[in-house]
Amino acid sequence: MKKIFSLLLILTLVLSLTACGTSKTDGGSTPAAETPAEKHIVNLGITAFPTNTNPFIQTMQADHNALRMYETLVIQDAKTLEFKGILADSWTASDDGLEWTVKLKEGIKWQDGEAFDADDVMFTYGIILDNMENENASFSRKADVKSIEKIEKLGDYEVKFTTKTPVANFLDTPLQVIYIVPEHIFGAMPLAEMLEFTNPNPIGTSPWKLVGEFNPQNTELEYERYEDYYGTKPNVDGLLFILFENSDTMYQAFKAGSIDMFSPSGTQAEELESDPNVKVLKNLQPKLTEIGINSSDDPRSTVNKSLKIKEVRQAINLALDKQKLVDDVLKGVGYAGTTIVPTSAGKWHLPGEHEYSPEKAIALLEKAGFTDFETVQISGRDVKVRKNAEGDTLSFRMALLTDGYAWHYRDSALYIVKWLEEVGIGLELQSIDGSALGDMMNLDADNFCDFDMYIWGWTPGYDPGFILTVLTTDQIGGRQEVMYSNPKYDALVDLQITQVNEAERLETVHEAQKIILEDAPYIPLYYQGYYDAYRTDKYEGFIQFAGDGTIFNNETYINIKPVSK
Amino acid sequence: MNFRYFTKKIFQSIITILIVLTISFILFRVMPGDPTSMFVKSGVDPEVAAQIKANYGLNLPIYQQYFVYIKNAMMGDFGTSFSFKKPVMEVIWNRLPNTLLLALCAQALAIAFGIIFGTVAAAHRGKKIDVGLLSIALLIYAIPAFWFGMVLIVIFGVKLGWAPLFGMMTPGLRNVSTFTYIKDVAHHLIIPTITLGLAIFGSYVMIMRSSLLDVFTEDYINTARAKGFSRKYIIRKHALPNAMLPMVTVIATSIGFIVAGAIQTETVFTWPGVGTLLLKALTARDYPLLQGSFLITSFAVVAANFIADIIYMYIDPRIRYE
Repeated sequence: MKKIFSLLLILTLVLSLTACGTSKTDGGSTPAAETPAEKHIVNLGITAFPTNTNPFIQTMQADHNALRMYETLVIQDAKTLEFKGILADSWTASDDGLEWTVKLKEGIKWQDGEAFDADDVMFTYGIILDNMENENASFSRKADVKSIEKIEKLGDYEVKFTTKTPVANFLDTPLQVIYIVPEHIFGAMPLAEMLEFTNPNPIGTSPWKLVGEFNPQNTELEYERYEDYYGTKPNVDGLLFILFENSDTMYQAFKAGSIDMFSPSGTQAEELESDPNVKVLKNLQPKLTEIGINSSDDPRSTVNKSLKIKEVRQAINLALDKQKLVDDVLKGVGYAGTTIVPTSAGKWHLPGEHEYSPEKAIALLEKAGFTDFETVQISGRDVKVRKNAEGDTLSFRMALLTDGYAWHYRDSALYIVKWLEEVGIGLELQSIDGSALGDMMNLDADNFCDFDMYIWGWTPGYDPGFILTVLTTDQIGGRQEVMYSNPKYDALVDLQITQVNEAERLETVHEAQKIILEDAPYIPLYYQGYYDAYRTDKYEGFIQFAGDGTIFNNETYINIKPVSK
Repeated sequence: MNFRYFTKKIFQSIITILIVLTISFILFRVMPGDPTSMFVKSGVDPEVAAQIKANYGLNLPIYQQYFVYIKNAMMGDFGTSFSFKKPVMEVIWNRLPNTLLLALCAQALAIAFGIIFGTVAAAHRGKKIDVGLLSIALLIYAIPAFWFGMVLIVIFGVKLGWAPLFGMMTPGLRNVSTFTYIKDVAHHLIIPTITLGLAIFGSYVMIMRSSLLDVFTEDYINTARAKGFSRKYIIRKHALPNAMLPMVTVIATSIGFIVAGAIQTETVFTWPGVGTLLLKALTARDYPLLQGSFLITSFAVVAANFIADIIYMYIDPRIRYE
């Protein structure tokens, strides 16, 4: 017995010593130093790992990093935001805006040596278009090609798209968002298999080639420069995306030089400012955070009917000191919100300043008949709220998301509660997670529209085409969160997307924003920014998209090069 | 060998596993909606929905479903993970070795130092060394693993540069010799092992100490003392073997839970183990994966307890000669 015991003890000791003692020899070498001689691999920190490399079923933001081997027909220039061809050589739109003829570049080869031609484009668009009505064919990009009537092959390197109506942003959606896949690989599969295909050995046309097999359970994703690329080749030898389950560890790894670029949090960005080897940038790509107000007429909706009064919604907007939210909650990184198209969208954003005026808010509420007061209990507190002659009170529920990304909603909510109480509006905060709130916006749900208001947001991209549709009537049951319906607004949104003349479209886009400003189903709080950071002692040549956007973009990856020592 | 004891323990383990399987079966069925509601969209053709249900055996009477389920579970078939589109067993199997490596090293460290510290503390009961060791153990026991992990990362990884901060091997390392590979993984093991080891070490010290103190009050210790044996000899030969009984139970349970992964430690270090996998399954609402890992953890705990019972047979003569 004693022998077994001593053996156990010795074994555990030896085990722990061998496990922990073997390697105190070499120092804390950084990954770059251990990769074979003088290869320049850029290490990028990410916090979510892609699930697959199949563009047809790609749904998550994180999945984009797994699709870098693929290319689209056109892309927006990071500096000028003008469209330029990648797989497309040139394009022309017919005078009526219904036909887009795209000439493809010749001589491009897939990374496995097969030739790229019009058949690949025909296949990629065709397979989605052929299955628009097929409910079991879950192509994630169906919504993006719905404007297309048909696609025809005019030659080996020429295709023609015919659209149902003129499409003003056709270059943006679909041409910039649909990755072209190789017909000789995807076309060989039955549909069902194609939609389950995780594509472990993807073959694309881009300057990046995946190293090894893709596995969603890995913690790193590596690309090497594809030496036979037809266009501008990257300066660095590869990109290595490294997953961090914990953002604090990612921050430490960046400080230690193990990764070269990542997106720090506000506090991390402040800490990094003093590091001479680090550059911290504000990333102000378009992002919208808004208060949404339940505008549904559905009998199941439980909205407080006082919110149906336009003046009440406008008063809420006036009562908010949005600049203070930007200063205090976002630490100055962002813009105060006015309309649904964010400031960073440039000319498409309706110019104007937010007016913060509790006095005007009170005047509006009184004009709407809310002149009396009543004390109500909200979360155990006595709150004095306004009521009208019919006894309707201004006491609302506000859904507050518990999800990680919603931290600034929660911080802002405390200010909002205070400001609204100052004008006689009570808010009861109700914690809920994003998917549960999303369920309430599902037409089939038993608790459809069981909310008064919420804080949520969108990342709409630089073209206004998308963000304007989140409030159109036909999106009720789709993208709509507030079930707002205004035929005049719908007509303007439908019109702008057909206006191939940019000046005309601009005017319509601005008109549409004015309607939302007036009706206030959405109260934009702010357009929040983020931080990006890179190490200046390793690489140079980072490009911020649109001048003030993210450095995590294709042009950065191609342009960066090791710093000359 | 006590055959009756042995069969009794096997029988008990099987009953426990059946109960766990049954509870899991019921849990999955009392959840709102049926399991197919996750991937059958509303508005889908009723025939298609019926076909999908049939594929999952949900058209069968409940008792038949139960037997199919037990049969599949016994054969290690827990269905397909929603998020990875692969069999649950394969997904977990992929991560399990990583978790075992980390957890076994940490356990070894914790057991060794837990027993030594606990014994020293008990032997010097009430003296400064006891108070000191006990305070250290309590303090470490109270510190959350993720915080401790971060502190170790900052000190040993960033400031001193002695060890890598994250992951199981150097990013981008491939096509290297087995020796380099082992060296690299061992290097990456250092901080996570210390973190996880410390997280469990505190409880071992306290249990070892109190268990030994109990034994010290027994008559046979007094007898041994009366015989004139040295203190060291008494502790080693008479006290320790008896004090190990509760330790074996605690260690066994702790090792059984290893397969559930160490979520905090794995997350801090991005260690690709079962813990981070569970976290991902939870956020992605991957029910088959959650259920699968829940069952595998249950099996492992039952198995570890069974092994503890067998070890008892060797270290406790009362059972051996019963």
